[in-house]
Amino acid sequence: MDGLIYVYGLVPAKEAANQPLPPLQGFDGTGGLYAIPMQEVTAIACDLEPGTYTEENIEDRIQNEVDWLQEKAFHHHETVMQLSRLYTMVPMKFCTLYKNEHNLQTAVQESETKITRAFSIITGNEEWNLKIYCDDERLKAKVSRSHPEIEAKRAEISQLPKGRQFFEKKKLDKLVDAKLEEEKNKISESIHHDLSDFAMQGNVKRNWSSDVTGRKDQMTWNSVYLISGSETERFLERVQQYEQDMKETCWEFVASGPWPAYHFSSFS
Amino acid sequence: MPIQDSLENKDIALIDILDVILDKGVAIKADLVISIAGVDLVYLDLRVLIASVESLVQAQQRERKTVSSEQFDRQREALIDATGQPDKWKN
Repeated sequence: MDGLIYVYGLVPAKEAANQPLPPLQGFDGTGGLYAIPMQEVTAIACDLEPGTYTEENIEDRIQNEVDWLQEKAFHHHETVMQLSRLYTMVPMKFCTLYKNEHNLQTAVQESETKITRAFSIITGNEEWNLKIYCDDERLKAKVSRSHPEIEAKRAEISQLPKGRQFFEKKKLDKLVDAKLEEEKNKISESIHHDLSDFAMQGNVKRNWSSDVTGRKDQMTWNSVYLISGSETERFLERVQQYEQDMKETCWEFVASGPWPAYHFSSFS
Repeated sequence: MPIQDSLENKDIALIDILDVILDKGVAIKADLVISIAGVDLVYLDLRVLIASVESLVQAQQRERKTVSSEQFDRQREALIDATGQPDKWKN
């Protein structure tokens, strides 16, 4: 058949044979999902009308059609989430389309070893995301009061003539900002290091600005962990412990999961 | 109740979803495959971000619900009413 195929993810062929695919609606709301069995790998996909999507118009819609992006992103996410509960799944990137089944089969066959390796990495494990936020102003006040280097500098400045004090205070402000960043990184890194002990793998992601999060406090850490299913509760208890211990000192912890293994099944 | 159960049904912001599905996941290259390039979040329309704020508001309510587009639509309308901002989703 020569139509566009939207692929949600790849699952081990044995699992797909043992667990029938539930009825799930396709990307365009017409037609359902179906399995494409290959040797070791089964793709979960749906058909799209040929000619309805091109690389250019998908990118254009992602950039310019927020309604479409919101609806389709949720569809992709919800579908992959449901499938991940049933199968060990290597999730595909949003809008990964193949022009026909033969093309998909060739691509999968060429990467079969890598795909089966990805299955073995994620089997029985869960992906969790942790975002750590900090109220910069409160921590800054604390750092400014208690950091020995800043205290010493402040005492030194107080001995200077008024004119020089002005410029030295400006420099001191910069020092406080630098020490604040240092403190935030130090604390976040040590938490990440500690939490990594519960995980098979841990990756650090880029922090988002307040424009993106819509929050008043700042994101100081954004990381993902691949955790054995049996360790998840201990990991989350640890996060909760940090949350309780550090709530009063302007830190907040937001864990989310389990996610489909987006970060730990990628291969090039 | 285990912590995991309480988190599993927590709403996930659209921005969190976009961060992974546009950037991560697998796209096996082959001739004729259509696959988008990695899209940087900073280039996405800021309107998307309102959905993120909506989800945070809802997360604070600690309600157990599953995420759905309809739910977001309702919240978006409520947020727009509350903030008095024009509905940028409508043409």
